[in-house]
Amino acid sequence: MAKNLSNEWKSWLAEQGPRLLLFARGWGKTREDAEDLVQDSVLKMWHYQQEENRGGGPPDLPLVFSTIRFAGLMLHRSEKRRRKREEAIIYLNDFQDVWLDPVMEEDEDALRLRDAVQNLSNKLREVVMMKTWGGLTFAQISEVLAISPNTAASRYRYALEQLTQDLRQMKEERHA
Amino acid sequence: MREADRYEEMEMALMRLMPVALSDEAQAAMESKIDELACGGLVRNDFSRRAGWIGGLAAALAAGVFAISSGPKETTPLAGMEPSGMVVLAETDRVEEMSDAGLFVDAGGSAIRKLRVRVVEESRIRDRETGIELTVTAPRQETYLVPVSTF
Repeated sequence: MAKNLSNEWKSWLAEQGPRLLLFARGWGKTREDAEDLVQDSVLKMWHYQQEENRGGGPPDLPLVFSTIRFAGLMLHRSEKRRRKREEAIIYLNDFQDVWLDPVMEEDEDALRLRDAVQNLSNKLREVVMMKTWGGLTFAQISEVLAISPNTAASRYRYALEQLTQDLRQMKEERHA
Repeated sequence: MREADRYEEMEMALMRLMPVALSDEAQAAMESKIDELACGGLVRNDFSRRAGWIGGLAAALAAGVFAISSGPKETTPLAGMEPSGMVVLAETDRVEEMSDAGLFVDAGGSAIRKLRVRVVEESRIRDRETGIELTVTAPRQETYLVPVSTF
């Protein structure tokens, strides 16, 4: 029984892990921070799912996104306090530390789009991430973000417009 | 180009990107935690399935037999154990540990703090027939959810 449950969660994690990590990247400063957020949230979800009438199995994705978001907000608050204490320390980013990978190798447009996605404001990016890679509906996204489905849909459209513009600008700069 | 076509084109472009996988270390750490929790969950469920003090007795005795024989199959004869002939002399509930399990958001978007309390239930029992007295210890874990309105 325990083995089955554990296997069920592990295969869920293998399938959903990249989506959760991607969403957490919006809140964690580094990949490690984001992985910590995913781990914290998965463990919280485990305990939540073990409570009565929840069946014990892996949770729905929108609920995990909500938990990651909340954990991210908490991390952000403590990070701000920590940053004040450690202003003298310079963090070096890993140049391979990316959020998304092109499906096909050497897809330059995809690489530029990746940069554009990472540069979106948090508000817009989280909607794009949940819709595109999380597969959530606008109704589900609206629950996670506590906004109306119409707002979720308009943020999504606005994000796509901005990405289109950013890509166009990047291409123009390349050809200039 | 129509607006819908423009969005569709961008959506197709986004699909050319895929989320990066968790690092091997993070994946392994989470899987190991899941295994630990799954084992812990089994113990807790065993306790909760049994009712009252006899449940604690069965669990404690099962643990005892396991310790002596080092084989889980030895617990099988306890399944048919009856409480008849046993007298409960005393029962206590002792809070051993209380920990903050963090904050989470429920499906309705409300913030909730989770408190985990480890309680040890102890019962002193006498077998009328033999006069043997046993102390049965049955640990259990309880979780309390406290709504958070201010931060």
